[in-house]
Amino acid sequence: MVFTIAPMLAVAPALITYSVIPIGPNFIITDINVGLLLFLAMSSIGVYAVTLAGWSSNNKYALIGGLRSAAQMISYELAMGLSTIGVLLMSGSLSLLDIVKAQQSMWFIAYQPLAFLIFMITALAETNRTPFDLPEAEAELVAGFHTEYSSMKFGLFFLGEFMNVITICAVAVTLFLGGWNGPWLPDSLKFLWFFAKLAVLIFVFMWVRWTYPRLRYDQLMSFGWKVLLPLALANVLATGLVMGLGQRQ
Amino acid sequence: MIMTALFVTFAAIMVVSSLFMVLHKNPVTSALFLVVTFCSLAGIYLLLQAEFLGMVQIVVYAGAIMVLFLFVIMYLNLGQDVERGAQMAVRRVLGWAIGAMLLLQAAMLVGRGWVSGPTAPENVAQPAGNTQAIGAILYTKFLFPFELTSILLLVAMVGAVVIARGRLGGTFPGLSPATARLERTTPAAAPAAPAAPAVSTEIREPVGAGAGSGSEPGGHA
Repeated sequence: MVFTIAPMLAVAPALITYSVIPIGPNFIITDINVGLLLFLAMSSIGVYAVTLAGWSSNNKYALIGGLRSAAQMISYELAMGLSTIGVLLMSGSLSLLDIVKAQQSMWFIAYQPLAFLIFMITALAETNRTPFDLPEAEAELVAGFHTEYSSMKFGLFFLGEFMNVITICAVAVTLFLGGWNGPWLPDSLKFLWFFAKLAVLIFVFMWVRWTYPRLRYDQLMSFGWKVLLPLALANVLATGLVMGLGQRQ
Repeated sequence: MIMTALFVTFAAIMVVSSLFMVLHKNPVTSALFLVVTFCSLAGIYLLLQAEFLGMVQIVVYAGAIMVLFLFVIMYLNLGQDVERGAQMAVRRVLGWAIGAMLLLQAAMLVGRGWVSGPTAPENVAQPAGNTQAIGAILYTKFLFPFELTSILLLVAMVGAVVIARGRLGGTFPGLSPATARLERTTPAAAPAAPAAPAVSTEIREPVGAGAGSGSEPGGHA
């Protein structure tokens, strides 16, 4: 039964996240005041899909793939969560709608370039794309966690993977690239800006995929823990300091 | 009305899955039912308009802690519970005693008409939800317990690093135990074991014997 549930868990969290992403000014399903936390919660639920698939396949390649992915996703989730804190400090809200509204004059990528970089790198790792696609490294693990899957269950894993790419790019657009904000278009057509930015980010994902080779496993872990996490923490500290000094004046 | 229906649904899922969690013999299935319990508890928090608590419940418990638990259970390849021996008898007696105490408390609760505290949320009308309220209260009224908790977590973290270093012969400082476990399967960790000093070999040996029974391709020992 776990074998059947795992591919569903790969797709469902990606779809649930869309319920809080503001696409246009009046183009949002629901605005809850913990929208960003919902996204983080759903991305942490996504770990189960890969872990359970690897375990329930009863196959050593699948198991190792699943364990690698669990370790990788947990490690990179921390840096991802911390990289969003800079944005939260500047907008003062966890609601994605408020975050977009706070970027009407200037996108947050201008104030938080480092956080954006960290977010995109961890996004690559969270969605198991190259250069972080160790869970399914063909050369050593056959196909990784989905070795034993076929037909639509396999299809769900792949749909889930690409849906996660689109979701995470949509969140990146919302957090750093100003969501639907853009010149010229009237309010009713501003969602086109959102989709344009989304397409650019997805293009970057594909671009990276065909450009970089795969990392080694220990390189991946030390990069996540020793480079990304301290950088994200330093970014939070610096943002907090600047915001605090700005308030005092 | 719909709130009551949702509450009953979440509560029913929670009770059933926690029963399964306790009664199921397979540790992995038990852990998965615990995840279901956490998620429905998060649903109940959401119904009480404690959105922050609900989301954190999923992020921290279902997303981080249970994944690590599952990780360890799967990796150590634990089989079904073996129920025999004197230790098991002691555990059974303790279990019945604690269960009887809980039942007594439940009976007292029913006797008082189910209520033990405020049943409705108190500060619902805040515009920004209770995220700000929690933050404000944590950093003012409960600052000391909050900092105390963080020191406790720091101690646990340092302890984890020390244990992981002891096992690996000091080759991988700064890794959490979960990642250290994984590192042991890579060939890079294997040659480090014989070169370790004699003191840490003593500590490492029983650990290696216990964990090495699983499907570990390149483990030390």
